Amino acid sequence: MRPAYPRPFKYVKAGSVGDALRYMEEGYKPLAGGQSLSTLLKLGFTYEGLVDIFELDELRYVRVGERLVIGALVVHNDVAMHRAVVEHAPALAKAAWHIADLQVRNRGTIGGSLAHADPAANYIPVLVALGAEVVVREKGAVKRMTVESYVKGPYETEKGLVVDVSVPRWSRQAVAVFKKRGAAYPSLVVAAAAEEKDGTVAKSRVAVGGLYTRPVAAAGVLDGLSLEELPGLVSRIVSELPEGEPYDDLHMSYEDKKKVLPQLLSKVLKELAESSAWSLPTFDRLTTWRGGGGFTTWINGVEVPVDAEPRKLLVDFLRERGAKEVKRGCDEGRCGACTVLMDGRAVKSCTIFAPQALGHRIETVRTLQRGGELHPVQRAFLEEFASQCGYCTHGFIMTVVDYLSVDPGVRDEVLRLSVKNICRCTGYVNIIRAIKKAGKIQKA
Amino acid sequence: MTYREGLRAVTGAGEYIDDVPEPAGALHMAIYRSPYPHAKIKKVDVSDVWRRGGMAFGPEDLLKVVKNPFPNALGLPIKYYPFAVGKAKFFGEPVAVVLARDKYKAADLLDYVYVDFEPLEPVASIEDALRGRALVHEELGTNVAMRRRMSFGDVESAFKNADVVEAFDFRFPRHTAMPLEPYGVLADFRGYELHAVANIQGPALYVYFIARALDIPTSKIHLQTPRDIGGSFGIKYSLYPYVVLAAAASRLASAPVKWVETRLESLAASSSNGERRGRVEIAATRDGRILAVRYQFVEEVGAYLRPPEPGALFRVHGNLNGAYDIRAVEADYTVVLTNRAPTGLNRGYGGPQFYFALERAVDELARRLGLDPLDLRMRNLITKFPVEKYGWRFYETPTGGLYPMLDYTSVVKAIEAEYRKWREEQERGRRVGVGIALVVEPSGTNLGYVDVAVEAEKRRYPHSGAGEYVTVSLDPSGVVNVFVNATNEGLGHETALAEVVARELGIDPSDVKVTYRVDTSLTWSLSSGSYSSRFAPVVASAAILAARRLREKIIELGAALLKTKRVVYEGGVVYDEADPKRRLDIRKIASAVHWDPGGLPEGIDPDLSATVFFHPPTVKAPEGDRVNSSAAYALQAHLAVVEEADGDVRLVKYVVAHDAGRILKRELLDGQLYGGVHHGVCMALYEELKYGEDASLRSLLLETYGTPDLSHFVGVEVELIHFETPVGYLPSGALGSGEGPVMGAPAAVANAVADLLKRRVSSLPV
Ligand SMILES: Cc1cc2nc3c(=O)[nH]c(=O)nc-3n(C[C@H](O)[C@H](O)[C@H](O)COP(=O)(O)OP(=O)(O)OC[C@H]3O[C@@H](n4cnc5c(N)ncnc54)[C@H](O)[C@@H]3O)c2cc1C
Ligand code: FES
Ligand code: FES
Repeated sequence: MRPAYPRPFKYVKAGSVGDALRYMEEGYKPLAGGQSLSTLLKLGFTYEGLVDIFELDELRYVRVGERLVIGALVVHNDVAMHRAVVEHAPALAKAAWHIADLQVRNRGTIGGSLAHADPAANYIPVLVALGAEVVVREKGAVKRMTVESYVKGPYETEKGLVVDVSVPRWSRQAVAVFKKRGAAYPSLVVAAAAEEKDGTVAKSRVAVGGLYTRPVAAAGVLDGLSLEELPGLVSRIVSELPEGEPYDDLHMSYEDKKKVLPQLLSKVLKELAESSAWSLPTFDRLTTWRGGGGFTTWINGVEVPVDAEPRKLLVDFLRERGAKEVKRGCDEGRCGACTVLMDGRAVKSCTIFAPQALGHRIETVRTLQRGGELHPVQRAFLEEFASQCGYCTHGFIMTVVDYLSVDPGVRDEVLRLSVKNICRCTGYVNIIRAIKKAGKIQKA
Repeated sequence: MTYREGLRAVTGAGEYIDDVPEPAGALHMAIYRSPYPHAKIKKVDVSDVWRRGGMAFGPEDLLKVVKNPFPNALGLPIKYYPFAVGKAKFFGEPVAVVLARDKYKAADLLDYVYVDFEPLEPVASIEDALRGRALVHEELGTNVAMRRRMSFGDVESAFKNADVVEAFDFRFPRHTAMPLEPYGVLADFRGYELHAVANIQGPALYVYFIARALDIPTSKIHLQTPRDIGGSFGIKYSLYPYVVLAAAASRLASAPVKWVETRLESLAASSSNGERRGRVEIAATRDGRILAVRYQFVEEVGAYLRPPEPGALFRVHGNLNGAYDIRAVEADYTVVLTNRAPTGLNRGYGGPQFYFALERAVDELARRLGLDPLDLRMRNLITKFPVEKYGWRFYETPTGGLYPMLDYTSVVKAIEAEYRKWREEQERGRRVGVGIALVVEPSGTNLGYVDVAVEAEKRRYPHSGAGEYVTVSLDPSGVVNVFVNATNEGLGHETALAEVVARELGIDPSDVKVTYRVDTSLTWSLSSGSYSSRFAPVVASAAILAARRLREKIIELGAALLKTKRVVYEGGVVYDEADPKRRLDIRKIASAVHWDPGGLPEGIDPDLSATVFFHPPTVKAPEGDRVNSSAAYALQAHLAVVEEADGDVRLVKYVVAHDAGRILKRELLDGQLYGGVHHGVCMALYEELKYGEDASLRSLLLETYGTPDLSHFVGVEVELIHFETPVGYLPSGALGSGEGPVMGAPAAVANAVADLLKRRVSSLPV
């Protein structure tokens, strides 16, 4: 049982896609948002070298044409909130909203999620249902294939650098994500897409992820049926789905998943028939992550050389440089205690390696309270007694600062999908009050 | 109003163990842990680590400086060292330590520790332990550490005369309250003295354990805690083996050593409660009068028996009748050892298990009798407190507990309206489950209760203990300094004590400075520490008495300075009764005394400090098997409402009505209740340290432990209903309240789920 610190690896930052491909040729593994890779490293996996592709903003685009094209490095929050995705592939946007929390979604990328091919990944079943294709590059070759054929098994895909995914248009689409109580990752994801003519389904695809070692899809199972009758036909539809190799995950056995499947499918079919209005926040901009380069990072406004081993987690680097307010509470990028702002976005500093901070601005609560006044979020936490031992508090405050920029009105629906930090003392009651109060103070 | 700890928290100014500056040249320790739950250690070779620029020590090296095993409460010949000797007895047990300049490097060097294990058949469960095919400790000859059967009142005839006997079998899981901050130790063994800073929960007995293990007198141990501890909930009591491990490494390496645990390690090998299986039998009349109750509990404590274990069985000894007027109680306890991590204190210590068993069984009795569970409880509720003692009235329980008089009926009735409302919702067809639980919450533990684990004839010395020292002093500028030798892990004691002391002295809380941390070079007692919700009944009482003594001194000095006999003290001012215009405030008195003690009249003592040791009058050593196991008992009525959503159960609403005596600071009290409910809900619905059939731990991540996050509680309504009966036998008038919620919530939630799903919920998490 090795304490969860990454083993050494070689690290290079790719300056271009070509650069990345060259290093991959040499056996380097691409590092995108690191939201999966950092945990694997902490839990003892070894990699010779990582080529950091995260700052290749040229792979961050959303193009609307006959198909919706999403660059591999578009982060989950942008998939969730970008207007073009919400309009053209709402099921994908919704699946993105159900990935982890605000911080993970600020860093994790759609390309990384695809390439990681976790059987519990949110996107893959949706992409399969939508009939999406992925473009993969290797040195000298560009391949285009369906997502179904790209994913070969749990954590197994075709080789190469994922460049983008393209999604055909469907007038109706829906997804449901099932997480077992207390789990961050889903156990089952069901998605469906349909085209309809006069209330009857003309074309359709249904996909299920998490049940088998690979997502399964069925084309045409809903065809010829009327939208209204769909929810009543769940068991028939279930029986028409292709089967695969049963998959038990950490939380649920295949058998238990099979029991939940009909409920989940019925939810999806209802949603497909209803097409409810989009209620989650939407934006037009895309986040970019290209840093200023160089050999330094900025911690609370002060330039600091980054002279650490590449494997050093940012949380440790920051603490060694005096930012002791940043805490570590887990080994799996889950608890949020280590949250800081990086270029203004909340990120978990235990999922980022020190050299990834080069040319970026890191901020902790010290920036918030500069000048001697408490920031509204700090004030609200203090006034509502939203801390006890205080160990989680810094991470919460930094998370909430970013969260309020996304959802200033603090709606329960958005809060539930966004702030998933862990506190062991307060029972969250006062923290939830403080978040709501902070929203009000900021508005005033 | 300033929430002092809160201000530190929101400004990132807290100082936790990993923030304490490390001594120059400190080495970081990584621990090589056994990958097997049970294995013979044939050889440990650490030489390669030395060749690669680190230091490493195996059991043979460590035994040179760790000379004695830790003691246990039963006096069993179990050799518990902070590392495996001869064989590894649980998954994650330390086998060797590696030291290097930083923690990454130390972790890397673990790869070069070579251990030759021979896996042995593990004792993976309570059943395995009882079967006894494999033994955890051969020298014991059995896996059964203790068997005790105790009877109070006429149990036999109660069961004979009962109309019904309801038997309820249950299982309670291993759970850790899991403070977000893991363990940490800075140990510097120099000049044959140990200087250690650790986020341990209190000095208590552990200083002795550390001293004994290292074979040095307690005079050579300087143990401190950092100013802030990132949560504890009892778990951080069990840090002491690691203090010894780090100290031993420091001694062998001749360098300061730092160790900070990671989450994996904390889940595998810090502490938790033990798994409990058992049966509750209730003898009752047809109309729902409970005549007697019988408990049969089998508890596993892991591979070693760590004090105060098996206390989880005895912590509730004085309140085995719960909130009910039951005059006959029988307890039949078995404690077994398994190849799992050793257990220890965990929030509510013994209470969650106990009340889950009792309150679920009471619900099953109600179902059997066709009675409403609330009505059944009301029918048996304690209403009379006939025993007069210590200036208050009490209900004396068959097992020796002394419940102070409170209005139980009103507290329970306070949840009735909400309860009936949800019952009506059900009648209207809404799919919800409603559950209640009543808890008499023990607080201010009597250390002597652990003695009941041993037959009365075999006890060598009487033990009792629940007291605490508090020192107050007045500095030259009139600021009152308060010092308590205990830990600050988020309970808000600085804020609360400042107000308590300020109230006594009639001054502003901002003029009171509170230092709340462990330093064994200063006054402390065996019972010192922050545990068993003892702050309100014990520590606050000691602080009040100390403040009063200081006030007497201030009055005396004020009178001397005013050169008059009859003075009045009011709002921090001493004035001449005859001429109120002649007055001196605390500041002036402090200044005059500090700057010119020589100017005081002959015979006037210029001492402006007071140390008080307060020991609750109700806390005595056991007599036979009867003991008042706690200084105080509060009452709580819990109501949980659950519903089915997306194929799962979900908490909708939670209500706690309670009376915990005087409310010292409502916001902090609320925080304790909210947090306690949360831990209880975690036990009921989410978390378990799961062991496989091979005794290896399956819950090494938060993801597999099942920890919920904020999002799970958005939209869940928690309501608190306070009653306030200041009790007359404690200076503070206050009873503890940090653990009642965790004791009641598993039962209330389980009752609600049973109500929803119409099935007998007998194992948690559901
Ligand atoms: C607490 C937590 C909870 C989470 N919960 C969920 C959840 O509920 N649902 C869910 O779907 N995910 C979840 N995730 C995972 C998250 O979505 C990750 O962001 C995602 O799986 C990986 O994306 P990344 O950009 O971070 O990739 P990285 O971690 O950087 O890389 C992952 C893998 O993909 C490879 N890779 C990355 N980019 C490319 C590329 N362009 N081409 C080829 N290979 C590439 C890497 O080499 C690596 O093998 C969670 C993560 C955390 C920490
Ligand atoms: S999420 Fe970073 S320490 Fe837990
Ligand atoms: S206040 Fe202690 S973990 Fe949140």
